Amino acid sequence: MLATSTKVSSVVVGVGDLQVADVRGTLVTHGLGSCVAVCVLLPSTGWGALLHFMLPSSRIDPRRAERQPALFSDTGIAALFGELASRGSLVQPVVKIVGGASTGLASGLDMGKRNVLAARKQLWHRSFAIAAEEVEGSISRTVHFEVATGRVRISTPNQPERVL
Amino acid sequence: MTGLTPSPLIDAVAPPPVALASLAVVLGDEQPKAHELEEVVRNDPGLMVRLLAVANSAAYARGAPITDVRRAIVRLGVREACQLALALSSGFLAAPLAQYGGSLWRSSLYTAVVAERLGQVLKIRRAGTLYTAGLLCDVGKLAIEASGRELVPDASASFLEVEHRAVGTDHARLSGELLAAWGLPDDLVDLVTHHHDPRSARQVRLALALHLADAVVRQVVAEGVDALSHEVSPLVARGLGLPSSVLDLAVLRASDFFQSIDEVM
Repeated sequence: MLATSTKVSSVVVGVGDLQVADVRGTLVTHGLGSCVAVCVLLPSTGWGALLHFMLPSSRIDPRRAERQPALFSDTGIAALFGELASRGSLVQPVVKIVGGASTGLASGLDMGKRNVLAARKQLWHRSFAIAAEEVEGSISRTVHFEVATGRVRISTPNQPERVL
Repeated sequence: MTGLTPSPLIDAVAPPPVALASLAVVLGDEQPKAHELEEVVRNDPGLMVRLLAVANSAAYARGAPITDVRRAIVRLGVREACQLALALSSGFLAAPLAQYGGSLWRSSLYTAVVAERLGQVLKIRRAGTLYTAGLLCDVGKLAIEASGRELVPDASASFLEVEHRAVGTDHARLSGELLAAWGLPDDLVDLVTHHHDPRSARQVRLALALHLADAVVRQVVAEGVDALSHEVSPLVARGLGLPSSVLDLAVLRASDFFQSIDEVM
């Protein structure tokens, strides 16, 4: 199980990282480009988790995925729900996703689009709907996920803040 | 290189460690020579200490701790040791750039690794040059930052145009001028100068690989204000025929490499 952030109000989630916090916490991840942040709140337990994954599939390096599952969509999302399930039953999780930006590569190579598709597929397989999302486009994003309210604040340089 | 007088903007950028140019020459060889690398590293005690630290880090440690440069090079392999030494000599890339938001550190190391791997997969001659080019292709931003001129982002213009409006030139050209001033090889200077305009480079295949690596890394490491606002050449939009798994693996290796370097810096 991950170290749980119960005392600190703000926890930074790095690239290929997964963090869990209770209602006192805000989970923050910076510089989302083609990576995707998956924010999940379990209202019944008051726990929230944020996954910042970098690549769509662990099939390219399963051994690497064993060491750092949060790098990939499939192993990362499995780890995220594993962490939340260890803290209570997965009843009506509120799922929001952010990121998946691109630089103009063709769709088959566009890492942002592929990451978003991979996240949707993983969630669909678990029958979890996405409550809100801000994905794709060509902007960098920083995410603040407030566990107490479930609000996901998104900031981008030179743009107004958005809230999901 | 360009036949033009270098911009005075580059004068504000401090010269890099002496070892940098020597390492670029060693790595530019198809078969980098261990004794040449060893000589460069021995002449830079700080670099020697950091290279030994990497050789003894969790990512590379095998068996007993190493305290000798020659054995470190054997353990790491000559090419990888040379790449590590270059990265370890590039700590100046970690300087925060207020105008761009963030530093060049992570994106430069990623671009170096991704560019070199794409060059290998594409079987381009002198792929070793791509590593150094990827590492240093954005150093011109240091000159723009030092100028103190304001960059005014404009959604309707590419960021190269934004740079032109502010300083009358762009970071790619300034990168080339800096590398020339630092005594790096001319082919490297040309490659870096044209990394956003690969068709104008003397070695177009190398430039296309670098341009693709730059595009891939900018979407992954979106740390700078300009990360997602450079145009991708239609020539590389389809990834030079490479499957997506090659790009993903290259990014994954870059992530590993970055972690191993970042730990000792």
